[in-house]
Amino acid sequence: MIDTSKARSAIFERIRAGKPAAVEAPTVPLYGWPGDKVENFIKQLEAFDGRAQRFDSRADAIAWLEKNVDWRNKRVCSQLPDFKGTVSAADYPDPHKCTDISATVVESHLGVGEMGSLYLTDAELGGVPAIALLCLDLFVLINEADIVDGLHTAYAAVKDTMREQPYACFFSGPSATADIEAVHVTGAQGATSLTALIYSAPQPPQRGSSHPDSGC
Amino acid sequence: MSQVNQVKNGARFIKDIPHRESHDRCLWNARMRRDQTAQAIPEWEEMRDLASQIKEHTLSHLDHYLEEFEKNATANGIHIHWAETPEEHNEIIYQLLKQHNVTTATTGKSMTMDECDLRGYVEKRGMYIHEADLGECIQQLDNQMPDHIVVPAIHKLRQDVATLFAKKLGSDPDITDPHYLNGVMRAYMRKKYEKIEAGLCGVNFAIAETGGICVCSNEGDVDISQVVPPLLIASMGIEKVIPTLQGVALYVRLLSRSALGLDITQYTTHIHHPQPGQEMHIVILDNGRSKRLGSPDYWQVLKCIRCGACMNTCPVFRRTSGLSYEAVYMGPIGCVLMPSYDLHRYARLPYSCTHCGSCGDVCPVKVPIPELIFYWRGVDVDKHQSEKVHDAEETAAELMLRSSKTLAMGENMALWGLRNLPQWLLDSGLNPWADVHANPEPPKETFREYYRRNYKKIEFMNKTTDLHGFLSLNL
Ligand code: SF4
Ligand code: SF4
Repeated sequence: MIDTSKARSAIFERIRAGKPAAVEAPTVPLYGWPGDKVENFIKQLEAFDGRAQRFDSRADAIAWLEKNVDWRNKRVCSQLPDFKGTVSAADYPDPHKCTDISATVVESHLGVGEMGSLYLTDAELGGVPAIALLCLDLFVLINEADIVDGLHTAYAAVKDTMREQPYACFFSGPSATADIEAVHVTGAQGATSLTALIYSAPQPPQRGSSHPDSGC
Repeated sequence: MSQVNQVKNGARFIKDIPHRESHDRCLWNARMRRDQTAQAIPEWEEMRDLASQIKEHTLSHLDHYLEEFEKNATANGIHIHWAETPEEHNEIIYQLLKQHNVTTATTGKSMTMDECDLRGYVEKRGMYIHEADLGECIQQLDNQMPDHIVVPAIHKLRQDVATLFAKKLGSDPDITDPHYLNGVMRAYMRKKYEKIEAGLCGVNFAIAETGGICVCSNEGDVDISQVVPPLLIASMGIEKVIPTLQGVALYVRLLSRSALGLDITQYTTHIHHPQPGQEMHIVILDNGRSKRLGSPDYWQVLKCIRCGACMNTCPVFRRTSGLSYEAVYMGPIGCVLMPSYDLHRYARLPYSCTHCGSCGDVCPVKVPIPELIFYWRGVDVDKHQSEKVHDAEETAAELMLRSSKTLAMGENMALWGLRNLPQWLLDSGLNPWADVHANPEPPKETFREYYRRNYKKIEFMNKTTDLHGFLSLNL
């Protein structure tokens, strides 16, 4: 590797000699996003050519997947404990091979109403982000309680954990391009479809209320 | 290199009606969509102020934030390199590719790599980097620079792309549907992805606090280039750093809405570590930026987040194409950025402007482009950088505008000329204005004479009317 420390010190020297007088950092409010989070999420995801399905329970969502994922001689890659595909991320020590995946099924723990985005990281993708990029169809489960209003709230939720993830991405619809005469084409080089399966679940027990460790 | 004549290049594009109309329409639509989405957000203008202030804050503490970024990125397992010049930038990357015996590399749109002509550099040394973004790939196959920083091939019609793909990728020249053409591109790139050994990418935001990078894109190519190959190299200018991860939310909310009127890009990706088994490098480029930072007139240009909104709105850019600027950065931001790279070559770009002010109004980080255009014209005139004809014009104008007396002489001369010179001379190349305008009927007198005759007296009276008299009249 080339030693670039000389360039580094020259650059820093020039910056220090010439930088403008200090400007204070402003405080950025945590802007929210008005309206119903889940409805906004669906509307926005559809605007990005994504699809959304709502279910009363996770079991219903899984049952829907069983029926609607294309199984015929195809590779279905699942990272869900309760939905078995034909392969999982662990079968892809070499991510180049992910081009043979027809459908990938994962779960997101953060959705954004403002943009219809789904947050996915190495944690949800089994350490092989390529399964969500090189597959044809991407199915993402999400508990509707995990959908927040806007992007500021979303970043506030992940700002302390994102750094641990090599890859973390807000997916907003399937890949797309408008590079030829600005005609919108869905299915550029990443996944060609994205379906969010939004399920309701009974509220998890209130944290802290009955837990023996609570109260401090 | 010779001076870029944007006016001449642009005039050629203006005559090409189908291309010009499509360019204008596509970009104006993007501008209108931008207005729609911006108007739906009550805090939009406040966000622009904040985005501008964060950039100003960061730039005024740039050494601190770059150090913090370097420290955190290194702790995350990322190798950081520094480059003062394009040459250094390219050599660092070339050596990395060589050490890894790379034969297939893909790149997702990076402006700094374009700025350094990285592709050209490695090609001369027998290596080929595939542009993986559709627009960039079209331009690479056509051996042309990008027309626009966000939509690089937007000056082309679908037939152009169909013909190009037929020639280079063997597709059907008669099918011009963008869906089909996108499919051709997808199939072509998929074959590459099966064996890419290195991925290259740009950086939208480098986060000092966490040592990670954020890249916003639509097609998926950038993410694939980032996580599939065993070697990842990102390239960024020193101005790309911002203090906090929470700050990214603000910029992401502004970026794509400003660029195309879309609420977000399909992929808003953060890389904080290499993938297991992968090696990751970031090359941080100066190339004149630290010098720009030291210019009190000019440092604000470093706030630019490369959204392209100024191009979409610019009446000159939309009708003359980005290619006419013969520059990596084109349109309004190009007019005020390129002269700092090469004053002589780009001295005329700041004149490709009607002073409508629109670029300044839409810029999400409030780069004062209209003011900077005047700044660069001043520099050009002071340093006599324009080519001979323009330099002579500027000198003559300077002489004439020096005092009201010399200006009055100039007016009289012009009126005399309009009355007495033969028509053929008035319509000749000496007066390019007459190319597309009819010369006016010579008026009876100059405006100055007319004004003297009719208003001079009133002006005198106004001056001597005392305040008391004025007030009593109004009571
Ligand atoms: S002020 Fe000049 S550069 Fe800016 S949009 Fe108007 S014409 Fe274009
Ligand atoms: S100057 Fe402003 S509007 Fe133009 S590309 Fe940069 S950030 Fe966007």
